Amino acid sequence: MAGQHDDHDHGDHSHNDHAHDGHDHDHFHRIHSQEADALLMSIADIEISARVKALEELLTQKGLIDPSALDAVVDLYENQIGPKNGARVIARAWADPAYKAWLLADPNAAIADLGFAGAQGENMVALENTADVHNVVVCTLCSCYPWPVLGLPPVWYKSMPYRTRIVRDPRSVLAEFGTVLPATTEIRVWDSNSEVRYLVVPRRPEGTEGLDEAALAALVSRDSMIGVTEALSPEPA
Amino acid sequence: MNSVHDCGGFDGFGRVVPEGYDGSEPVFKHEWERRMCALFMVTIGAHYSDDEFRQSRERLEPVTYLTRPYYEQWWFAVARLMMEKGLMTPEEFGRHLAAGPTPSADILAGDA
Amino acid sequence: MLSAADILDILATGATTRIEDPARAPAFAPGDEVVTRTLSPLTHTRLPRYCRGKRGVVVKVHGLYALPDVRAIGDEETREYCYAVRFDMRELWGPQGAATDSLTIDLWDSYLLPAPAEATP
Repeated sequence: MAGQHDDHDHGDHSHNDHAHDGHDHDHFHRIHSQEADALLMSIADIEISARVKALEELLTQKGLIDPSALDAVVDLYENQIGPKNGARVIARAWADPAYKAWLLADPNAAIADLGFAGAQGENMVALENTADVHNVVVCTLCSCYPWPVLGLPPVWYKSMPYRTRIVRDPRSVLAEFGTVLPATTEIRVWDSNSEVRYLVVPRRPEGTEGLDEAALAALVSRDSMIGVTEALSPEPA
Repeated sequence: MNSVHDCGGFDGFGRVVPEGYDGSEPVFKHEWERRMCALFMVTIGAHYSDDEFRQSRERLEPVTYLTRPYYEQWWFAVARLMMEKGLMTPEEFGRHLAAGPTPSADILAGDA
Repeated sequence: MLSAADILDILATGATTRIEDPARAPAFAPGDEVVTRTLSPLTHTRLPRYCRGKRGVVVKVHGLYALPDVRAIGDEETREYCYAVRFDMRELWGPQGAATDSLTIDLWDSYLLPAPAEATP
């Protein structure tokens, strides 16, 4: 049985027992603190705002964190990074077939070309919706999501109803969002559980032939880039 | 870990789409969510990996996991890691919490 | 301690455990049929219960990444190939799954075995 430090047979999948050598009971007890358990349980019903503040204060007093760094992070994800970034990527892909081909073939480079990159977007894959195939993304185990192009995930994406249902009955979930697909359409659900992050390229709506990229981007909703809806239709002229 | 976080295919959790949903929602609903999200962002990498963070969140007992808001689950996960990594002791955090906010830290926290 | 400028730089750059190692070839290629192992570690895993012991097909080789199961307990060194593996909904859920639809999930070498040849009916 392969141990944690073996350096042989990496290509041989009959020996890849790195994670599961029967010692995870020991690993669990090594990391587990009963004192931490007891403390967390004893304070679990104190107002969460007070518990967050106390954690920030103590870590600040210990010199582990700088409160101004927290302010900068909040500003970044609340005001600067969000689905408008992804909408620019999709609008460019709709407007420029060469860019779309690049986005599908080398998404990191194509997305970075518009200035978007960083944490939780290091290894992107773009999934193109067509008349025959509809892609939709979830993270059942936690809340993995492509931050540089979509910002932080909405509450419903992180919720138990979405995580439990979309992997088993995607049509009923899409219908709740108002997305009713032909019975013949193949739905591909992607459970985003690795370091790879997925961006759906929704279908370009009808009646958008004359629109420029800015007008196209306004039709690209956040939810259409997760895959629970189609892109918006243009207002009739 | 075979706990409730591993929930794909469970039945009974109800509707996905919130009542009155128009496709948008605020990034944060409460000030403590802003601070907790940022506390995570400035400590991950420096003090724990994302896999350690996920494991810490999964170790919440199931009823807590299912009933506490998302960023409160993050609070449990980060507080546990800070203690289990020896960056603060349970005793000192409990004492700090019981003492209540200090005026100077209140200003630093910018809790407007 | 990270300053505001440090943390903004880190978030703008990102971080990945992905490495390139031409000496290591992936065990599976797109089109290969695989069966997921049944594992129940007390510690972290990214192999959900719903796709343990199931037959699927590799659709993409993502590259060499840290194995979350051991990274969660402090092993920052181990790298394994990670693959996108597709399952028919009927394989995962039985007759309640839609025949038209599929689920794709990223799985590491430690989770996968080559699929045995299908039994002749």
